[in-house]
Amino acid sequence: MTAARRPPLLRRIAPWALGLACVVAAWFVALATPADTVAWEPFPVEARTGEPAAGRNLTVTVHDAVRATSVFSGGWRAEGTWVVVDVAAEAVSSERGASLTSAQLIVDGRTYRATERAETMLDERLSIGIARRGSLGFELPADAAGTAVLQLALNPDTRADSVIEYRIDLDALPVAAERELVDAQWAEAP
Amino acid sequence: MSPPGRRRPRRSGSRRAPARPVAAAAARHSWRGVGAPRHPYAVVVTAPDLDSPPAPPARATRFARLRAATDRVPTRWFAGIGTAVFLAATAAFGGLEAVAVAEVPRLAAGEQHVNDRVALTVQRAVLLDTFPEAGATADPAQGERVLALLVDAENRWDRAEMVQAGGGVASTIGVEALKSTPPTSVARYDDASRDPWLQPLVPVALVLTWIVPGDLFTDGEEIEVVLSDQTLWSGSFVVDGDYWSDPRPAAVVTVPIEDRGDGS
Amino acid sequence: MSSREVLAAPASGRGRWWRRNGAALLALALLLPASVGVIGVQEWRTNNTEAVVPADTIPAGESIRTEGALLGPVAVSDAPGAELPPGARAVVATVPVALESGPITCGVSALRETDGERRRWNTGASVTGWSAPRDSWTTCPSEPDGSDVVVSVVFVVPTGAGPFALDLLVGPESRLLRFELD
Repeated sequence: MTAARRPPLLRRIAPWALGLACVVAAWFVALATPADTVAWEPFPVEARTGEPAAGRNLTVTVHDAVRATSVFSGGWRAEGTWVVVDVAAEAVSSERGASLTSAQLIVDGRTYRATERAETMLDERLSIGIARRGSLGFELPADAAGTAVLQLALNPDTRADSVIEYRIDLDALPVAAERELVDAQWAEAP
Repeated sequence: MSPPGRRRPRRSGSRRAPARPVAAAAARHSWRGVGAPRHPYAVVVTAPDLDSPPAPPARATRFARLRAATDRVPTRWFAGIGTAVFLAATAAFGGLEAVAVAEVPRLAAGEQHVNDRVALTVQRAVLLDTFPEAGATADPAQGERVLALLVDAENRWDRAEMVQAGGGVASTIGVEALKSTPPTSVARYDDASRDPWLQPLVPVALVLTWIVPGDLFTDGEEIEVVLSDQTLWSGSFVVDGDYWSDPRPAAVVTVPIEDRGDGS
Repeated sequence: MSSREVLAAPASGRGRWWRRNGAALLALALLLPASVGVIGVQEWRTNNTEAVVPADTIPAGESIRTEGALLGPVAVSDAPGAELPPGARAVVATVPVALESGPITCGVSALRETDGERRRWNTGASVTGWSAPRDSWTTCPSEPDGSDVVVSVVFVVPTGAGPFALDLLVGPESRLLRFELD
């Protein structure tokens, strides 16, 4: 009996081929595996003009966006290339830590922060269920163009939290000679 | 297998070699589902085993030849060979001498210095009795005065950044005569807002103020302002986010002081 | 075993494998979903219950004697004259504090909704048209005039919010007392 005869070529190669196939499959799995940081990415909520967009603890309604060559607030005035956005915001479930501290405009890969030079909706304390409304002003370079993304959040650290996003086409914005930066007040008059 | 009189490195595998061919045969039998014992050294002597196939001895010879070949490699010489290779590589790259430190370029007031983070132009240096609007209130009783530096800054990074007196962009501007101590305060020149934010590619005129002893500087004296470049680091493990660190002097601006007394 | 039996073994061998491991597979089929379920339910419950647990919960209308003072009963009422948008309501929470052995430290931490959405309001709301009564405090004073102190704090809440509970931090170790309000 030659049951212990050398097995045919195919049988001998089979484990090697299987091993190689597993290595190749592992390579594809590694390619498809997302990076560690994906677990912390923020949850974007797309906002449309005039409609409330609800995040975890932030609901925002973007009413208006204009371009202006000059902005003023009380006695303060500034010239330049400005984008002024009219927003209303409220908290949803907790007033703890509920202030609109993160207001960014991303243009052409660069992140602009809402201006701190005047009193606006930036850093405004939010109320649960009752909206506060005001302006956010962004100072941009003169050649700013293209699509901009407005990102609003309660905290600049947006890991694993909601971010309200609103797309603005800078080229299609109405241009005003001057625009007021309105401080926060109740959205509906008492 | 090895030449007599030569010390062969001990390899534990060499002692097991005789047992392997038989164990291999036993393992092959159990794979076929016969239920032979799994112990590697088990020797199942059955009829097929007595017709030992030629394959295991062939394998043993191959391994033995390989082992004999590697035995001949002179391990004692590894350190010497490694050092020679390293020296040859460094010679190819220019030698082991330290690299000469590059000269830092000297600029005059009004000339711009650009790096990846910010573009700075030191415009003027002014000596004042006090400058509370910019955040520096000097105490005349102590003989203090205020040195104000007007700097045009343009953020060249990809995100807005706050200029604070304690760190950040302000820390890259150092007055040589003050041993690069951080300024007392930083403010915008146009609306005097303190700790301003620099938006990307939007130029801002800044005023940096230091409270200095009144007799340290005189009118017309030239001071040197050292501008440093930093490297952008990305936190990956214990730190999250991007930050600038590792400053090194990149330009020296010579600017004359104007003594403006009690205001301009 | 002869080689002929070896060649004949595989077919029934697989069936025998199932029979040999049947009990183990059954246990696996029961235990795997069970452990996933138990772990999941536990995580869900801890996520939904509050992280903050009060030291004492005082039912509506009752008082508590602690840290050298008698606190309560807490009342909640609408703030008269408040100018607020439609859908908003200004409520004032009043905490009478009867000091028994000197001043104590106390402060209102939050107003909570005990049912439904379980929302949480902070102090520090500013309401135009209403001002706190002259002899009321927002936190327990360090130098009280008299032994009776009234702490009153205003919150701006949406109409329809409730039932409420007031969280009060009392004493040097900030013990959390939760006063339920109807």
